[in-house]
Amino acid sequence: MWALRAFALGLAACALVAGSAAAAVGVTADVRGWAPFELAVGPLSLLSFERTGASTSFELGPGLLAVALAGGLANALAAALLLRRRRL
Amino acid sequence: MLVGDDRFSLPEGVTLGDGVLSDAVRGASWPVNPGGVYVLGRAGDPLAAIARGLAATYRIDAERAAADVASFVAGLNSLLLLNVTTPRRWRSWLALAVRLAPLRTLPAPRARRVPLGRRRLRTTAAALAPHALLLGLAVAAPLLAVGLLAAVPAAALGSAAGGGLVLHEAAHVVALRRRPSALVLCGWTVFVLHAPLRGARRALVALSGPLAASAAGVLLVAAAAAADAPTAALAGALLTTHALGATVAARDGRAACGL
Repeated sequence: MWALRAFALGLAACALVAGSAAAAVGVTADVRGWAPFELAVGPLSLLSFERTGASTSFELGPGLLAVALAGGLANALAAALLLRRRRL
Repeated sequence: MLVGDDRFSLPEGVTLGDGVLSDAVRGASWPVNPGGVYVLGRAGDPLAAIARGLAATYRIDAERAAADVASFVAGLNSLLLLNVTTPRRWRSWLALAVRLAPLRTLPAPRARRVPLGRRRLRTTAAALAPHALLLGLAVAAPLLAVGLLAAVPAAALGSAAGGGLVLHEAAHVVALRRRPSALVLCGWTVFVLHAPLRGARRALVALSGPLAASAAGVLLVAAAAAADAPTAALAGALLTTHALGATVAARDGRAACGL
């Protein structure tokens, strides 16, 4: 139960932080008139910002899900280590 | 490290009776020996005077009495059972920091326990205001100093950092409802002390702080996206980092996972 809870909390926390950070970067890029760009981790896109004429768009990519999953796994692993240390 | 001018007091909720120190907030008690009862009975006096009194009463060496009083008071302070006050606090801290500089260490922070009785939210906000201000300055000043942000965005990020701290702890206080609790401030560490909770209630109280602050951050980012306000979006993103408090790296996350 603790492992599932740790995984879920880590996943949710990382998803929230990464999503909000990406959105904040997108809003900043839009207002400041940045050139189009794409943030990615390897093949997975985190955020892509596009400008077409007067309109702009930013899209949160599947890389954010990967970041969230990695956060969930890391949190579950850290919880397991903590529990193991406590039992020793 | 304590000095002779320091005084201590028992915070609200901590009482001494029949050789037992009881904490109504945690619902726990600790036995105290007669020497300890003598020291605690002189709450409010300077530690140097208490040590002299202890040496005279128990006919022990004055230096040993001073060391015993200092370690006893420091121990109870670390157990959050008494508050220590120092006259000219910042001057004393600086003098001690200079003396400890060759050892490359700073004076150990002292815990201060603020009772949360009536008007719990107001008390929480008032007690946290200096911390929130310092945290806000610690975030805004470097950004401003290196020219990474202009004054307004830096101030917005500083406000989000400071306001987030208050919101986080206030949410814990609200989630505890009327349960006896106290706010504890120890250096940069801030938390709400309460009796042990079980199961879902424990998780709810633990997660209320990270959840409230990060939810405020998400709302702010969403509003900023709608209004094309990058400064507000950055402030919102900073607030959402409170969600990391739900991971096992933080006290709240460990409590929520039952660790």
